[in-house]
Amino acid sequence: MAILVTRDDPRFNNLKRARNGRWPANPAEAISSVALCLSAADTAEALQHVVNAGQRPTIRSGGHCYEDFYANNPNGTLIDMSMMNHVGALPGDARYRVGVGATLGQAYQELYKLYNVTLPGGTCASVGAGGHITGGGYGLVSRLYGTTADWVTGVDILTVDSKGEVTLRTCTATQDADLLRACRGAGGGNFGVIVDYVFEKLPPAPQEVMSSNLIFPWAEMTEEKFTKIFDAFGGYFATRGKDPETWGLFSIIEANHRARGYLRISVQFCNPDGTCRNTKVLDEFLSLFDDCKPSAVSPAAPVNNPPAESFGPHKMTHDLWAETGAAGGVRRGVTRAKYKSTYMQKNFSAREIGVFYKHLTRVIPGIDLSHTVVEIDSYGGAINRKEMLEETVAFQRSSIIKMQFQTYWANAAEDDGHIAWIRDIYKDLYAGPEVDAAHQGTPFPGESYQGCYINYPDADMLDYAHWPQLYYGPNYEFLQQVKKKYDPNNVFHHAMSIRA
Amino acid sequence: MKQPIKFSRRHFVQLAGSASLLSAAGSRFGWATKRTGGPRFAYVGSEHAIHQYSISQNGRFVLQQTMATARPVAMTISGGHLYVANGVSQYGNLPRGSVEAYTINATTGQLVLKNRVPLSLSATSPTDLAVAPNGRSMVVAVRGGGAYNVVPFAEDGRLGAVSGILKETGSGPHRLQAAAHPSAVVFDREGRVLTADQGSDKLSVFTLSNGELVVSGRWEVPAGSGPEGMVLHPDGRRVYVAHALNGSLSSYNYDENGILDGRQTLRVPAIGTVAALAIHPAGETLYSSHGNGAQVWRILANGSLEPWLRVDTVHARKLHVTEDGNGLLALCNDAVIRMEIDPATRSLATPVKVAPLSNPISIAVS
Repeated sequence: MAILVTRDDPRFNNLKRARNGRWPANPAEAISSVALCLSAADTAEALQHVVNAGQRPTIRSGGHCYEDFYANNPNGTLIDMSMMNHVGALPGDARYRVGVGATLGQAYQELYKLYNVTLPGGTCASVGAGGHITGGGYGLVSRLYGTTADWVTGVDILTVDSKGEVTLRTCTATQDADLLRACRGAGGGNFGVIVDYVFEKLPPAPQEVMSSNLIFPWAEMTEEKFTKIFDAFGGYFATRGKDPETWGLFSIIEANHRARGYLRISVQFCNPDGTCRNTKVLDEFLSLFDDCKPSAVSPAAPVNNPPAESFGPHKMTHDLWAETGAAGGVRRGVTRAKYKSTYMQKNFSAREIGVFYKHLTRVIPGIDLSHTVVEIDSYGGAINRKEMLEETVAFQRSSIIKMQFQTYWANAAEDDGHIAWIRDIYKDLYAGPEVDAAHQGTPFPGESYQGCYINYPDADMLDYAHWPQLYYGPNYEFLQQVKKKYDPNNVFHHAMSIRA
Repeated sequence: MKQPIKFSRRHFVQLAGSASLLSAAGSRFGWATKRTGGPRFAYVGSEHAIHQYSISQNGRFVLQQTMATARPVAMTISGGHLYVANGVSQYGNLPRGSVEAYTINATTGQLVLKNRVPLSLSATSPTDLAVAPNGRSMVVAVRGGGAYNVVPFAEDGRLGAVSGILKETGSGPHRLQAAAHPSAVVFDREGRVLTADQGSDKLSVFTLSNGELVVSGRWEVPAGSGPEGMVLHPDGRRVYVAHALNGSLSSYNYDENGILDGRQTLRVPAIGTVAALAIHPAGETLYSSHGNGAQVWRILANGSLEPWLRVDTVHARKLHVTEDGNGLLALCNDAVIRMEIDPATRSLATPVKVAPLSNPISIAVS
């Protein structure tokens, strides 16, 4: 039986919280209970109870959702899957199973130690498998191995049929195959409660990797140097980076706002055989930036903790138990955040680089942009295998770069300034000739862009009637059919869920 | 004492034939010539506006104001305010409908928008609303999202944020019943909420407490019938339901504990999926429409129905009996039609076109 934590339970205030401190946006949108599920049977029972009570379920595994998809559920029940975190094969079953509550860090460790395999997933260890994988999660070895969703061969998922009955479905290539495909890229909260991901096989864990960081202090930055860095990075992945020999190289420009003090290029590398015996590819990549005179040392970064407050005569810091290390929490201080994303198929244009420079050096009086960054990830390689277009619903299979715009802050009073910054840079970037007149302001799929990433959801895109095409391209109609078939009563919904 | 009679096809044809004389006489929809007392203002919703009329002594509607808004599919008047459900599928770029509150000028009847608030996420295309007896909140039936929302009012009539959501599931055998589609909501005398769900063939009774709805009882109706319109007898002890998908009416006893039983089912000719109901405040007659003419029913002492008159020329999608009981208003394709109700016999006079209007979808009269 699931553990039901209601408002009168002392754990409620902790468990109701979203990782993004902006959610819920107001108390009226908050949940009234959390169901902590320990098994598929628990989850089915809890879900049935919620449906029978006329409530709405929202679902959380790792809780990293950028928008309010699970936190905005007025008087509803949050089904918490974080303890469904098993990793490994079942007895007599050679396939790998990953419970949706497993964090990526846990999954990497256990899959490696038990089987010497890995998931080509993201870099944030505390992200939960649940939302990450179904949204098409990717990470440092994705250019080598593809996305996590590419490796999924089955999902166990609880759906609610037209009569309101909860049903456990085992989706494979031959059973509910349409739902399986939809769960490979559509993102969470659309069709049901995924319990397990199943993988017939997983890629081998690299034996070793080489890592490097190139630091470019803003104090020494010029627009010319900035342009060279961006152009070299984008140019590499638009050309040389398409060679399978380079697919073990994954790099990120951490394009911090000037207030942070520096830009950084980080690289992780292994050869396709999982070794680093030959570093020719890595050396070649790093040498692209020699002229820009990087340093290996970061300037001091702002402390990512809130200032101590006064409680009586002494200064001290107040934390909820869930925020402390002892409780496994990691978030303190700048918990409010806003995000956007873009898939790019070409290198940056001079105009785009100019927009980046303008906004990364922009000053907004009274707004601390020291936690504001555009993370520019290398992409492509094995991700761009065209056969995956039919197996998954992730249509972005020609991109070479995926960008994540991020801005973080501590106090609600700064909301407007931060949100204005991120909206402005995005709007400026997609106001150029790369986007046709009907889709200005968005990276509409075309020659230059391939839309946005549903795991970095951005509710601002709802301003555009074409938002489904940004996230799902030509697959939205298919997803609507799946939605009608498996969730006819729209039990599972959020602001950007599939609309039947 | 009147005895219930079985409603046979032969009987219906006879009634229809006799009523057709009445229909023929009124088929040209001449203007009304006299009227005494009664309502002063009418509010009629069309696709993109609320039209406010003053009602003249001869019953004619005189347009006073047109207030642009989005699909005012249902409206009701309470405490000097007009409350409106906007039957839209998107509001503020999110999949949800909305509701509005207007202040009614007591002298002129004119409307001033107080505020418009969103329904809950996924609560798209609301279809009906009802104000609680205490006048402090309303319940909205949400067809598209398969849900009911509770919307509280402030002292000044301003709408607050949705305080309660009841999400429904269910389906039926008809092609239009792939999911739950709440279609009607009515408050009983005890403050409970009676509802009809066209998608799941369900009638429900909810309690409303602390701004939230809790299921008190559920009743299934014939599969595929699609209950849509619902009215409560003025004595509060009989419920009438018009079914949109199989051309029928049903009635139920309704006791002080909120229990439905003793169903009576009546078949009527129908076109399409219209099912409208209105009841006379004296509780002696019920008016229904299934898209192909208005039907008048006698309500017998035990609450059951007996077919009486038929007006073939009035193809109404909604019906409304004025509070004084003197008129039946019908929303037809191109006009609001009024039929005077004889205070003694409850028979209907010749239909009169009182307001030409394309595609009226809702009405409230004060």
